Amino acid sequence: MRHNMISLGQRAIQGEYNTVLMAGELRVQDSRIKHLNCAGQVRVTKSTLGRVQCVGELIAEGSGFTRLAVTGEAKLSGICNGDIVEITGSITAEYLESRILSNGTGKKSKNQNQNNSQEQSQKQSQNRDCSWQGVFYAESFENCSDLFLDFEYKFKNIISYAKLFSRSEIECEEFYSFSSLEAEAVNADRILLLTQGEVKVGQLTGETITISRGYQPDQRFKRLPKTRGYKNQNDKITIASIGIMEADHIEVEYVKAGLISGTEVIIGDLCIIDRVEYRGSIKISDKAVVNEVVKL
Amino acid sequence: MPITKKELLNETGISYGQLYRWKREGLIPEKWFIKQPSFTGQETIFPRTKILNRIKAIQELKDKYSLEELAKILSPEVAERYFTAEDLKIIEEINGNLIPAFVQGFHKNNYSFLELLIMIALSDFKEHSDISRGQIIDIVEGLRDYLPKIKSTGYILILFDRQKDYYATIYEEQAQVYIDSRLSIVKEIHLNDLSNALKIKYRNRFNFQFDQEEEGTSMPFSIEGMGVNRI
Repeated sequence: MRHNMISLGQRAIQGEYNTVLMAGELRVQDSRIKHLNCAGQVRVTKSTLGRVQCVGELIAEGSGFTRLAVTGEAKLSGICNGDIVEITGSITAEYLESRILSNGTGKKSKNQNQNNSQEQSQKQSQNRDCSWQGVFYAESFENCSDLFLDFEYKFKNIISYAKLFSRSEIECEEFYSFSSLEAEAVNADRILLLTQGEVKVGQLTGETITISRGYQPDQRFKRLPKTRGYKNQNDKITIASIGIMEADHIEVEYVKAGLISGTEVIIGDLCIIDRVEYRGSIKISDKAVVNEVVKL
Repeated sequence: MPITKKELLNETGISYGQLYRWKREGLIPEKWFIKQPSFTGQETIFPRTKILNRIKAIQELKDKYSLEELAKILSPEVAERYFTAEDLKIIEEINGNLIPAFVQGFHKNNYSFLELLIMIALSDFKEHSDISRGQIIDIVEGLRDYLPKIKSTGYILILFDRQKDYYATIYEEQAQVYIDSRLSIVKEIHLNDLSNALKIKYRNRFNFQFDQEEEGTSMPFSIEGMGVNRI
């Protein structure tokens, strides 16, 4: 029979529970728990947990979660999976697979400096308090806190609400960045970048590339698995700096780029483009500067 | 002679989206995207024959297989390629009657390239010896846990017997191995030679990649003289 439990201090449990509230140290083994709220340290081994909210340290091995929210540190070994996993802090995962994986909650701390340089942010992401290490698989990854993408991952969709850095090519099917972005390259079917924050990318490639000042979420975005929608952050509008863009449909504004090559190309306001190549159609705003236009 | 990206898109009729999706899915190796400086800043070129053949293969197969399946089929790396039980039936060198024994011995339904080589070696051994089906399963079970650790084909497989009880050992080609002289070695197989012969024979069927070879090279597959020495 399922039952509830309140635990203070050290405790070890096994079996089926509805709700467990604990403060201190808890060991959970071969258990099924619907709700677990904990402050302190929890060790979970080969268990299936429903909704888990943990402040402190979570150490799990070969376990599954319906919704896991950790503020602090998570260490996952073996194969762990979850439907929604939100980590605010650091995580080490041998192999974590989830439908939605979130980095942070998106709530900005008072001390967070809006004008962090990349170096500062990299240092911050490498800091033990907010580092991500291991192997992560997710249908959607939500980046809600500054992150350096230097771990092994495979995400179908990436939605970034905070600063995102990568030294290598970011690959996914749908990529949305609503804040600062600095990456060597992005390769995705759909790429949408808002010029709110510093945007600097070497190469963008895919099917559709959109770079703009603002965004009205469309059905395609609304249908993505995610825990939060898009809200205009009203950050400072900047000019995005892109080396090369290659896609079938390209629509950009507020961009400085070396080469844009596409089938249907729309160059909007405040663009400075060295060379534009197009196959089908092209539109260039009067408020854009394009050095060379070539029909392929 | 290389082909530029623009020429490639014109010649094949594919879109940027398709090209980059296939790259992302591993259908087109990243190393084929060669960046070189040009008057426009930078230009991507490809090895002409390889990329055209690859795109033709993808276009022919994409309706039959998912992109994920295609990536495995087209993978140039032996370590990444997996073969299904259906694939085993295509390989003539694998004794069809022994396939259930291999499935039982390996405890799975898809196999690495190395496991495939072991099956070919054992099939050949079965043809020329009185080894039983049960003994083959025993050998496979005895080897199977070591095979995932082996990342190349530069190994030698030795089969030996002691009073009609068969055993196997596998070791790196450069290694010196001294086997108890009371055991009689009945077969020594250089997996690398076996691998080359297999890949050449089935290169079209499984799209094995031979970047270093000239196009059109063909070589008949023969176990005799291809590293399989009967002792």
